[in-house]
Parts: sequence; structure tokens; C-alpha cells
Amino acid sequence: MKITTRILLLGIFLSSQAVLAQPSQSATSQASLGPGGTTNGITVKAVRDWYAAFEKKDWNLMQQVLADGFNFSSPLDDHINLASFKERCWPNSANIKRVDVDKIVINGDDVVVITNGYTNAGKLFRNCDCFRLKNGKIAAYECFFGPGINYPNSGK
Amino acid sequence: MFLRTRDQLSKFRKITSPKNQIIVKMTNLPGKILLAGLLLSCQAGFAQTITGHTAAFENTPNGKVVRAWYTAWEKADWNLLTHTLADGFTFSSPLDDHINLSAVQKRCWPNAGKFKSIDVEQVTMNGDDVVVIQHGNTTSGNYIRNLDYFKVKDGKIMAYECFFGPGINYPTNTGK
Repeated sequence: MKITTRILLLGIFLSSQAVLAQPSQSATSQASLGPGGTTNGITVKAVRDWYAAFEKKDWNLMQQVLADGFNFSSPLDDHINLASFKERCWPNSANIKRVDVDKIVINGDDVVVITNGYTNAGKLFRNCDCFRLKNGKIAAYECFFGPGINYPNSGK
Repeated sequence: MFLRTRDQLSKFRKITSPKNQIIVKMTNLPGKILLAGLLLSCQAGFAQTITGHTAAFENTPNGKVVRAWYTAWEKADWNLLTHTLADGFTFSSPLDDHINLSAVQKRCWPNAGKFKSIDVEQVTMNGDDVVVIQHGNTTSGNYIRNLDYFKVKDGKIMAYECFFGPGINYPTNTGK
């Protein structure tokens, strides 16, 4: 993706909640905007900024969306804290070219997102990310692995 | 992949089960039979929106059909499983790319009946999308924790996709 396009996309992210809340044209993402979903856009924005931070390699942005006491889990990480997250997981951001949101299912402070991510080398990692929000920030995150290489620096 | 000790798993489960979540244990046989009866007699599924982690899960058509899915795998009840599925059903996992029903029976069904228990830890429902985090143990004592995504259509499961968490992923996985 060209830099100009990425900047434009970031601008859209920051300026339009409507765009943020509709990552795809699927019925799933549209349904997430209904009465049962988060309609004020704040919680969705935190999740969208999570992915934007990884794409932009912007640690400052990442920190802004995380609640105090944040913990990160995956098949390889059991409720690790912010410092461990930065040390173990953040280096993956350097190898992420793009993350496309396939589906979002929102239920109160629980946000479930299925994504198709691509490394700089074009390898696919399709995962399901579960966010637990607290006051509009991400208090907990857990990743479940789908097909593909699981995460950019897995070595697969 | 790493394997967890029993103590580690206990800690993991405790942390991931805060007070405001309802752990739904599917070990009550009469309840399962009633569930199956409800499933078979009520095909009028409709979209619903649920608030809360597992609130009202058991009282919704989509929740019922998903519960029946797990019951079928626990009891190795192929007839019940097929009653939960819509025409054109597809099954996906990190190892299966939208396989059809006959492929499920051949490739995946040998796992049925090898679950000691399946505990529904968290349900996130919105309309016809149902996401379940579940964990349990195999009959041989191995731990499984996965996330299941169900796409429901007219009260039946149209598509299923499994995402793997820690543990051995599925009972017949001999690679772990």
C-alpha cells in the first residue's frame, strides 16, 4: 500500500466513526451497529485504533487505547502484562503490512473481531481477536489462531 | 507448542472466568434431552440481540441450536448434529477450509464422544452471529480451549469456524 493511501486511510479512521464501524459490507458488521452493539463509537474506536497502531507501528497510539492493568493472551501468552506485551508481541508490528477486518460481533463490552492479516511478505494470518473493554479502553485481549502463520514473526 | 501444567490451567481458567460471566456446564443429561426436544420442535429461529456475556443464551433459538451442537459432539449423536445444520453447511478450522457435511463426518466426527466435558465460558451474540469461547478436557485428560464462530440462518447453523487457543485444539490431535 502506498504511503499516501495509508495516510488517507488513517485520516478516515480518525475522522469518521461511521467508516470505523463498518469494516466490511457483511451483515455481521452492519448488525454490530444495532441496538445490541456499541453505538456510541467509543469502544469500537479503541479496537480500530488497536489495529491501526499495529499497522502504523505506533506504540504511542497503542498505549492510548489500553486500560490500566491490561493483559494479553494467546495460545502462546497467558495473561501477560503491558511490558511483556511490548517485548514479546509488539515486534510483530514491523512485519505487518495490512489487517483487514472480516467480521465484528459486539456484545456490550465484549468485541470479537475476525481478521485477515498480511505480512510484508504477503503471508496470511487469519485470527479471531477477543477484546474486553472497560470505560472505552481495552482491558484484556485474547487471540485465537485460525489458518495461516498465526502471527507475523512466527517463523512459518 | 507448549503444554500447561494442571496448576497453570487452573489459574488460566480462574482468570478468564470473572464473576460476571456464567459458566454453563453441559453435564446434565435430562437438560440435554430437553434441549434436544426443544431444538427439534422449534425450528422458528429468529435473529436476536443479547446483552451480557451469557445472559439469556439458553433462552434464545440461536443459543439453543448452538447448545445442541455441543451436546451432539459430547454425546457423539450424529442425528442431533445434522438436525442443527442448515443445507449447505460448511465447517472451517485452521485445518479445514469450508468442508461440507460428508467431509465433516469423515474428518472431524471421529473426535465426537472424546470430550469429557465442554464448558461454555463466554458467549457473544449479535443477530445470527454467535461466538463461543469454550474449554474442556478430553476423555484422556487433555485440555482444549477454542473459540467457535457460528453463522446461523433460519435457526440452523449455516457455517462454523473454529479458532484454536491453548491446549491440544481437538481430541484426536496426535501432533501435540
